[in-house]
Amino acid sequence: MAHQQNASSSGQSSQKDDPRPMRISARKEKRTSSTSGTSHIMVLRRRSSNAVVVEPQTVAESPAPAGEVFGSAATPSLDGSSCRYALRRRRSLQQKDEEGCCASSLAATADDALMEPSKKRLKLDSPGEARNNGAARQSLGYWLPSSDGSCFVDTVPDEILLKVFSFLLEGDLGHCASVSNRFYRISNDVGVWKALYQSVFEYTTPLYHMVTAKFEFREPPRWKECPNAWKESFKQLRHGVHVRPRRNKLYEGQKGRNLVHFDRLETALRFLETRQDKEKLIFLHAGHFYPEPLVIDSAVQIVGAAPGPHVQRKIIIEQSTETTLSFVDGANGAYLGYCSVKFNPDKNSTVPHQLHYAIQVTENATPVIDHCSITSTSIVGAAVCVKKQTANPKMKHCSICDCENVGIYITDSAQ
Amino acid sequence: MIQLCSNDDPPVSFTVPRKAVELSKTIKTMLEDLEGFDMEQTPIPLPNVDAPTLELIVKWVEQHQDDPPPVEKPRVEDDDSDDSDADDDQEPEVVIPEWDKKFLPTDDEQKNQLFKLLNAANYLEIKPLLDIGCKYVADKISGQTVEWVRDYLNMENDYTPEEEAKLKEEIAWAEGL
Repeated sequence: MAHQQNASSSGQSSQKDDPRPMRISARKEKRTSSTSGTSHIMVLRRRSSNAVVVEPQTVAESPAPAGEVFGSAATPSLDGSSCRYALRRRRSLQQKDEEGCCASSLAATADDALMEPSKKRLKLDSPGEARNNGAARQSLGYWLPSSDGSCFVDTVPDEILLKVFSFLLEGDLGHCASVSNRFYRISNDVGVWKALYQSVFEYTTPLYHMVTAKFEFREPPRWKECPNAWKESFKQLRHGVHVRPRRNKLYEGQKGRNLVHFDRLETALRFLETRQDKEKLIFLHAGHFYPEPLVIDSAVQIVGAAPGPHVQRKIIIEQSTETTLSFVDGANGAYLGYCSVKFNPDKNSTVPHQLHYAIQVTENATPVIDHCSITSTSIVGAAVCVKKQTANPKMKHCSICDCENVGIYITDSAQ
Repeated sequence: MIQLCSNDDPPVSFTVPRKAVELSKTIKTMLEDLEGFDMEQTPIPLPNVDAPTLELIVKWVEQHQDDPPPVEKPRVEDDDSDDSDADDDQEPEVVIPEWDKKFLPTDDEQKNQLFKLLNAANYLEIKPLLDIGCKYVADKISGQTVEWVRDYLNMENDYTPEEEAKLKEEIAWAEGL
């Protein structure tokens, strides 16, 4: 019988070697496959030999040389003991089992069968969540019963604590880190922070921000000497206020979180006018915004926030009657990044739009405009206007296109 | 009906409707693999679960056996019409139902039992039970001081004073946002 040979190898290969078509072969887990083959045979015998008082144990074992025992190792032996087979998760094999035999996970099936042929086990594999959680969690230990039972948290595996921590917010994780060394390790889990970060900032890649007016997406491996880029980025961006319509509850009013949220860009800007002690930073989340004409006269940084590689496409700031965004005197250290700015006048309007732009930079303003897409659909005027000698915007990675008339208009001896 | 046995000596067995017991993915998979056996006659031993915990598990699965299976991504949040891909990675929010709030062993002297229950739910892969249990613990911890958490979870402070000082510095940013 084919399934006899493969029982000593691991479950996966036994499925491959088994020539019989398996009913359950579509399933991910193959460990029990040779078992069910045996089971069927056994069941058939039981039913066809009704007259005899069936002793399935004999059926399974008596004609069996050692190999047969392997093959049927997972067959429930209906030997009258109340526990016919043990149900265990594969990962728990790393742990000492109740009998004190420390089974290596690979050899377990065969070993168990050899050592205790009468007490048979079904190695039931369960698609445990640990498997889905990526490499970061694979190294985590399984539970070890505490010796004295006084600290019940010691009996809980890391994966459960990870789940608990996944419901916590940044402030709570800080507290948990201070509880003990084990909590420190788990509370710094990359997966926990990534999920937390992405629920707040939405970015697919952590945004690196060390100096004013500089923001750059940086893949986690490029965060030098930083084991948890998500956490570090959260820390760098923590002073930002969030403009994300109808998501107030996510940012405010929760224990363990102290972030500021607004539904509208204008109110966020007004709030920052009064804020002196912290950097002025606004995260403008995905959406189409039609604010009043915006005038920036301080070191406000506005950064688009959305998942995916083309963040700027998902945040659109639009105006139809006046210049959408003006940087004026005082806007030194101002920043606008990762969004689209549009001036989109009504086609039928008779108002002259020569002096209306998507972005206008005037005297003494030196903003950084980075990763923006700037458009004007007006048939006159320009998308960007830089005016006066002391106006000195730095524009990087911007696309100025789809304009009906002029892209950039530099006037009044601006440089 | 399916019989489940605790790991006690002698084992305590519980008889549970198959539908209820199948809320445990671990047992469900096993029953599927053993199709053809008369599982009604075959008690299933659970070597990691003691009788009081198993009793709780049985109570919970019987209560929830008729729950609709979890929908893929139920966003219960209000008018969330914009930009659907913004929330693709987010797990649906876990809300503890009223019945479960009363069900969970939440008294102080039952904390040990609560964690045994979480262990068992994890082992038996009863995800909704694990979710609400972990959510309960998280809610409990949230907004509390370090000392309170240590006290609640009966944990020792294993930091040296130097480590503690360094740590305080390290996590200060999350405090004073």
